[in-house]
Parts: sequence; structure tokens; C-alpha cells
Amino acid sequence: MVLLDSLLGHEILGMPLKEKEYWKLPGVARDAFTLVNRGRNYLFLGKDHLLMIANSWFSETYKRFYYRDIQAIVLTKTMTGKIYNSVYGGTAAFFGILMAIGVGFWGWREVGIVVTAIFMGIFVMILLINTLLGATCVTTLQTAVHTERLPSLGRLRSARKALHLIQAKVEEVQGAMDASIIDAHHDLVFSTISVTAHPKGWRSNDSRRHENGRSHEILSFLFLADAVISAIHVIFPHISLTVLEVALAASLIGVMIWTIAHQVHTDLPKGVQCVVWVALAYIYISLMWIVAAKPIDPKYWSFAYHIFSAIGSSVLGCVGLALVYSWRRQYARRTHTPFPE
Amino acid sequence: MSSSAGYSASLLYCTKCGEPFPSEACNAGLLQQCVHCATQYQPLVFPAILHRPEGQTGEALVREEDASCFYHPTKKAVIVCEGCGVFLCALCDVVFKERHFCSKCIEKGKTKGKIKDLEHHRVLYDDLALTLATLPVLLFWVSLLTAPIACYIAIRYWNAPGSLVPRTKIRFLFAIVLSLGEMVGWFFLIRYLVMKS
Repeated sequence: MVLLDSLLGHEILGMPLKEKEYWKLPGVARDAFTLVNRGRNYLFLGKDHLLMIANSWFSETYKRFYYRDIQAIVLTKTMTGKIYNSVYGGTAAFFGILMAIGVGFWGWREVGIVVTAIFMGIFVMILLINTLLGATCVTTLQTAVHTERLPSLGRLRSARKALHLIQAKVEEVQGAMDASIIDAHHDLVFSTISVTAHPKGWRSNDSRRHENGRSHEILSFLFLADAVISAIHVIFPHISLTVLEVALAASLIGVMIWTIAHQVHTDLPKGVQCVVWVALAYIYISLMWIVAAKPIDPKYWSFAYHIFSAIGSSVLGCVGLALVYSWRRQYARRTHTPFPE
Repeated sequence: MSSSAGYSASLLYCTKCGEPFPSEACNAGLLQQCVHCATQYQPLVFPAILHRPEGQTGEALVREEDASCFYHPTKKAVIVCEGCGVFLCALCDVVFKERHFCSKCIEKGKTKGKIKDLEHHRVLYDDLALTLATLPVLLFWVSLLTAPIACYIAIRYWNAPGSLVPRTKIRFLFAIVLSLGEMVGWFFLIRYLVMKS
């Protein structure tokens, strides 16, 4: 009986049910590697507090916000969803155009059509799911001593539902507040708050790890090297340069994976992080170019590819380096540490 | 309002243009639009924003016969710790869930997991056992190692505290059944190979 009880999670056969301690709020945030590390973030309504659970690998980290301490919650609509949609739509369109060109000009048969159709289908499906999930937003909570982002409330629809439930609970404890009270205490309401440190290992925007961008710097230098080799290849095409390019491409992919893994949950600015994702897309397009454009005249193809590679790599290398150095300078100024660190 | 070391701007400013939200926009229940940058937001403000916490310093001891704080002999004791019974001054008194503790009892409650509301980390053994039991779906041969480990974890941590939120033991049960099945499978496979050789 004990075994059955524990399996069902409550008492049975005439015994009273266990009183529910937490109620799950709508919304869940998954991190980029959720399939591997099960990284998720949820919110639960408790009797006297809001419980935030950050799930990672096989453990959970908790953070409690007591209703009596919550001062404000602000939801801000963002463009992230639209940006993702344009990326997914653009990629789906790319595969659609590739398929059309393949069929029309390169005489693709079943395999080519099926492969591009599968990729197009995947991106159309992701686009559809992202659209159905609705607009994105950022929800932040303020107490007397800190502000905390609530990652699970990242979709407008679910965030508004959750806010409604949280508001009811907080008002049960603190009472309601209207515009006249806010006006009467304007200075107090809009003054600054003190900030305390977050527990070690807690994953939120306010406790991100510091990253000096070393891997980004190496990646940018590799891109610049690739640009130089591609430019030389345009003028003096030689097999040794091709071998060098292949080796460089392999190191670029390796460093890129390292950089992407390094920049997760760091304080690196969005721009620096964005360059890596653009670089990933650039490498992907380059590979597609190599695969798709083989039937074209090899000399013309090689010339066009190396010009594209020289321009693309030099732009990525320069922009990446400029952003990393600018970030380091900003960080040094803010923390009063000498630059370079 | 820019952030500075130790202090942060109140949330009630537009994140894009930095202008304060108008009072009438707060608790309106609808998405509002910033008049300066058209960013859409919904602010909720609660009465706690009007109360700023004030730290206690502890009253100095006036007469020698007065009870003093266990941690600050020069400060007057105002309360007894409900955990260990030592006298505490206002500075050392930690009020938690309407009960009074010293910081050592709070720390002990947190590290030993005696105070549930102070726990901030738990290992999910049921997830670990189930993952180890289902891993062979991807790599068959690893089940020779993972199956007994999964079975051990599921039995060893059956009664260990799981997630804070309601959760059944079904993962543990699946892990035990799957891992036992894998071990039986390995037993017959090895037996078959030995007989064949």
C-alpha cells in the first residue's frame, strides 16, 4: 500500500488527499541545449511565495519570491519572436529557392528534391510553431533588494495569464495599489533600489558569468586569416592554398562550437554573441555553396566563391574584433580594471 | 537610469528609452505603449514598493546585569533563538516565517536541509535513474554498465527527497523495470555466447 501511495503521490482508500503545495503557472523557458541538458525554467505559485525552478541535467535550483516582498513586475513586449520568424522563414525560403534552381537549372532528380524539401519542411514547421506560440516578451520582478528576470514568462499570452494569477496572490497579501497612491508617492516608487548578489550557480540574466571574449577574438582572427587566404586564392589559385583553406575551415568550425558553448549565460553583449550566430550562418551558406554550385563551370565557381569568402570572412573578422575590443574597453571602464585584462 | 555598482534602476522605467512609466499605466491590466519609443509594456506595482527595509543595529548594553547577545556581548539581548536557545540582539535576530533564529541555525537548517523553505538545490535521482535505464536506446552496449547503476540509484534513493513540486515515483519504477529487463537480457546474451563458443 505504501508503494502504491508513493507511486500515485497521494493517499488513497478513504485517506485524505495531500494538500497541493504548488500550482504550476503557464509558460516554460528552455535553453538552447535543452534536449541534452534538460535546461528548463518554470514558475510555481506557492501559499506564501512564488517559486522559480531552474532545471539543469539532473538537478533543480530554486528561488523563492515571497508575496509580501514583491514590489513590482514589469512585462515588456520584445521583437525576438519576429526576428526568429524572419530567420526561419528566410532559411525555408532559401531551401525553396535552392530546390527551384536545382530542378530548373541543374536537373535535380528525386534525392536533391527530397533533401531540400525535408529541410524546407523542418524550417516551415519551426516557423509555424513559433508563430502559434505568439509574441515574445521579457518579464522582470522587483523586490526591495534586487530585480530578477522570469525567463519562463517569455511569451506574451502565457505571461499575461501568469501575471493575472500572481497579481491576485500578491494583492491578497499586500492589498491593491492604484494610480492615485503611486502619484502620491512618486519619488519613492521611482527611486533606485539596492542590489544583492545571486546564489552561485543560479542561472538568470542578472547573475551571468563574466566572459572576456577570448574565444571570440580567436574566431575573428581565424576569419581574417581565411579572408587573406581566399584573397590570395583569387589572384594565385594553388592546391596548397586549398589544403590550407580546408584546415582553416575545420579549425573555424571547432572554434565556433567552443565559442558558442562559451558564450551561453555570459555577460557578453548581444552584438558579440550575434556575430557568432551570423558566422555560423555564413559557414552554413558557404558549405551549401560548395555542395550546390558544383555543376557550374569550376573556374567561375572557384573565383566567385573565393571573392564571396574573402569579403564575408573579412567583414566577420573585423566586426567581431571591433565588438570584442569595444566590450573589453567598456568592461574595464565599468569595473576600473586596466585594459587589456 | 543606468546601473551602477551596488544599485540598480527601478523597474518602472522603459527599458528602451529610459523614461518613467506614467502612474496611470501601472496596474491598468492592459498592455501600454511608451509615448517616447512605442515599446509595449505592462507594469504591476504593489504596496511593498512604498516600504523600504531598515536594518537593525542592536541596542547597547546599559546595565551590567542585563542579558547580552551571545554574539555581541556589548549589545542588549532582545530575543531567544528558537533553534538553539541563545540570546540574540536585534542585529543577530533573523526572522524567518514569523520565527526567530540566529544566523548559525539558519545556516544549519539550510545545509542539512532541515528547513525546506531554505533549500535552493535538489538532485533529481528519479530522472537520473530513468535516463541511465533508457540510454541504451541510443547505445545498446552501454546498458551492461548503466542498467545495474540505474537499478542501484532507483532503489538507493527511493525515499530521498525529490523535486519540491509534486511528483510521483513512476520514474523510479520504470527505471527499475527497464534496468532489470536489460540485465536479464545481458544474462541470456552472455549465456548464449558462452554456450555457442
